[in-house]
Amino acid sequence: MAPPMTQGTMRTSILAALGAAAALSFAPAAHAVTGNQSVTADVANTLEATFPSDYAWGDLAVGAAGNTSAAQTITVKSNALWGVDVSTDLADGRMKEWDGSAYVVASPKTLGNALQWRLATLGGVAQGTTFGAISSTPAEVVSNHAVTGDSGVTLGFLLKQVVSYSDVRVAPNAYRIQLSYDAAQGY
Amino acid sequence: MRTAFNSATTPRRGTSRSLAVAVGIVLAFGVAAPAARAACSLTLILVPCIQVSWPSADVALGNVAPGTTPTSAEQIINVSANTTWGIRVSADQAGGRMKEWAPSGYIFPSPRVMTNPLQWALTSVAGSAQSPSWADLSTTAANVVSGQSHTGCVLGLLCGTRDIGVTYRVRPTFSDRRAAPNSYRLLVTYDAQTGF
Repeated sequence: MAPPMTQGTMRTSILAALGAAAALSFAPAAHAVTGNQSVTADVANTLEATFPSDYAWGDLAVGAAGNTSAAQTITVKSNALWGVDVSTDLADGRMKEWDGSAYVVASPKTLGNALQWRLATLGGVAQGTTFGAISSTPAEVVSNHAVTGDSGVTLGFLLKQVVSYSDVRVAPNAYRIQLSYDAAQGY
Repeated sequence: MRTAFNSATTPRRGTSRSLAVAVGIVLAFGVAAPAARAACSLTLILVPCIQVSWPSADVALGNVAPGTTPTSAEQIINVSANTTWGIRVSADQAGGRMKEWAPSGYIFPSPRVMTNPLQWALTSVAGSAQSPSWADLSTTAANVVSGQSHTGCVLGLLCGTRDIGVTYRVRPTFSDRRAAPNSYRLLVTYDAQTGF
């Protein structure tokens, strides 16, 4: 059994203990630590669109009522205001004789009436019934349309061609015109 | 009789590191006078400790396009621990969705909020690639790793480390509008602990 400490011994012990405690104050016990990190981004203005494939109309009938195409569809996804224009490669919008690889150069035949178009549905909602002539000057199909979300918005439109008794058959060639669609943000 | 007592702690240097090394000592101390008999006992207890080096910089994903799934560079968390440990991750926004941020803070009122939550995945442990299992961030902490064995600390002097790699991805939609000159932001909090 250890003898009782003298007063001096006890004082020394207390000082030693205090010293040890002071030394330990620089070594905090950490069982958990946390850290933060911010993640930032912005969203790029983005538009995706799908357009109709080539349309083979077949033989057109003569008559004022004209020939109406099957519905052509454009689907647009956009996260900013958007619109669609349509135009043709031929200035006056009249279909021109085509030999299968190019427009006929020497005295091509051209239909008497310009191709027409109209927006039939927008997002599944029926639109007006009036056709408008189409030309190399872009015509506005839709403008300032709202953000679509991931489901997108589908435009259905129709083409109309009036054929008269002045228009002659060109087989084995055909009449052709090229449509250009321009879907963009900001208008 | 002479009794010596030494306690050394060596905090690692590094601006982003947290001091987390500790040696706790419970001491019953008696120092004997030259002419006296003395008894001393010394008990050394190693306190569970963990030292972490967090990813060095914030993550800037830049302009992200709807229909794509941009992924961040892998963020490395470097850990030293002398016992079992784990890491949790959480976000400051409910639902883990990035929120419109001006340089001074989140926009209020009517901030824009991304449609989909930011996602995270554990992508490497000790340099070994992991097949990512993407999960939404939220304000509820999720385990990144748990039950990790000690990394070889010996009295806080010879510490091994282990890298934990975390990667983030965002899935913008065509409903998410550009916020410039602001941006979208989420604050991620890591919590490294011993004992889980």
